[in-house]
Amino acid sequence: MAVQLRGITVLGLPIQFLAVAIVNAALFVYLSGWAALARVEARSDSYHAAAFGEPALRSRPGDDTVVAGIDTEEQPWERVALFVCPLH
Amino acid sequence: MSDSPPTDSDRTPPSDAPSKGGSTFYWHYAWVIVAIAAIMQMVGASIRMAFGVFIEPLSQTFQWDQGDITLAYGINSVVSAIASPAAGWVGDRIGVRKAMAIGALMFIAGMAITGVIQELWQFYVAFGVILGTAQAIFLVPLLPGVMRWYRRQLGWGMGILMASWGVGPAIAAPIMGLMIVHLGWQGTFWVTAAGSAVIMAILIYLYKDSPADIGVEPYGTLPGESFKIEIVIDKVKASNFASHMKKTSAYYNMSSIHFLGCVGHAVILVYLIPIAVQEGIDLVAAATILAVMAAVSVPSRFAVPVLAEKVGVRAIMAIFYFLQGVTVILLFWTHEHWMFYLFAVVFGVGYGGESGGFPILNRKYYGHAPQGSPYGFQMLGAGLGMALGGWIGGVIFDITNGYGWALVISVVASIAGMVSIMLLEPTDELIIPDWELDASPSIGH
Repeated sequence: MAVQLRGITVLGLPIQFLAVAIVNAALFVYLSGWAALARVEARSDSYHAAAFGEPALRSRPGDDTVVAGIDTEEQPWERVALFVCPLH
Repeated sequence: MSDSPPTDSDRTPPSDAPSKGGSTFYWHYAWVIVAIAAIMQMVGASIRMAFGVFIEPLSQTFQWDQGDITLAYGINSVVSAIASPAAGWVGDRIGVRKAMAIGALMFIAGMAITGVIQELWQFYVAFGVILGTAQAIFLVPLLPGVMRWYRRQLGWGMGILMASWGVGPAIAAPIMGLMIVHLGWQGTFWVTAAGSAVIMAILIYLYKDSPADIGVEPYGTLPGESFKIEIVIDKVKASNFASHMKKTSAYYNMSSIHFLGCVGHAVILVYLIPIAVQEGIDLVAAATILAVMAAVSVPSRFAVPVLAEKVGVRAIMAIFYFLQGVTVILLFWTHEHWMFYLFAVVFGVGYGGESGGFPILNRKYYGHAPQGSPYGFQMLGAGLGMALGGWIGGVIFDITNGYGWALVISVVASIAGMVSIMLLEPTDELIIPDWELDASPSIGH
């Protein structure tokens, strides 16, 4: 099995090397997207809290008023990370 | 590398049979070369190893955020990784001694400029780019340069060199810390630049590219063996070997294995202190735990190349990758002071042995062919692994407020590296023994 695996190449590159490269590139993209989303959401929550108060104080039973969304400015790296990651 | 076409003895990797009248060890200038390379790498890496002690002084002087300052370390790591293949190529083409001189000039210039910075971007250029490139030149060509001095017993030479990589971090930080207290951070950079200039000039003067420069054979050459080494590889020969080497799976796989190993220990090296502090251990004690780990790694660094040469390089590397990976699991249940010390000791053994097998593996696969390029490509993998491992922990902590998933990634990376080592080609024959005869490389090995 080891001999068979060793012989497999894709585009001239060994499958072991490709597997490591692809998995780690995917991990980098996923974590970047996750980190960018977390930062954007944290800023958005913070702006909401500053503008309308804490969510726990805002929401009352039967209150269906929709609070207008606040556009949170994204940093360039966050925009790129969210664009590249298909899961965020 | 032999001038004549390869013989049968060139097809198999050199054994470690005793020589010089049957003795395994005897006086030879090769040991001086090893000492020069070890000191050169320790001096060259001193500032990088002690980076942490500069964070607070720089932050106080310029009111920079810690994230902005540590970005310089990230730039240094990535630049060093990207420059590694080129540094290996330069070493093969112009000789290690000239490469060392270029690296020394860049190092001294980078240190002196860092001592006069006023803006953050200047810090990134001086520390990140200039010193990062100098770091690659110190790290990459020197090791193949030492390999040229050994026909046999390479493991002992590599063991001493690898051990110096563990000694460096243990002594650099306290020395730099003392200098900052007495001289300030700018004075520390300038004095280190001046001191390094003197030390490096002496070392470069004493360094010889080839045993032939002083009229001797490489260490371990048997009586009657003719063995000539070219210190500068001509363009046609270098590109011929490179084209053959890049057709071998081992060239790529060794780089990805080094990458995995470095991801595995970078998470621990960067985040062990924050993990310990999170468990209520004070900063000084946490730093001591890291120092214990570095000290424990020294015997492993020394032993692995020797064992790899004698017992079998793939088996030894796989064992130490396994040790590095499996011991990280302990951290999930490590809360007490003494448990962190226990972790530092057991992890230090595996971590210390992670990189020591690569020079032996290169020798077993490619014999005495120019090693700068393959080693440079492996150091590219290692550098990217260090950068990724160092980054992952912080990102995961920011998102999850814990290091658990970072530790899982560390374990998986080390174990994947172990599996990948076990899948490598056997080392009982050179992979491309006829590369000098064959002008057109064949596909697949």
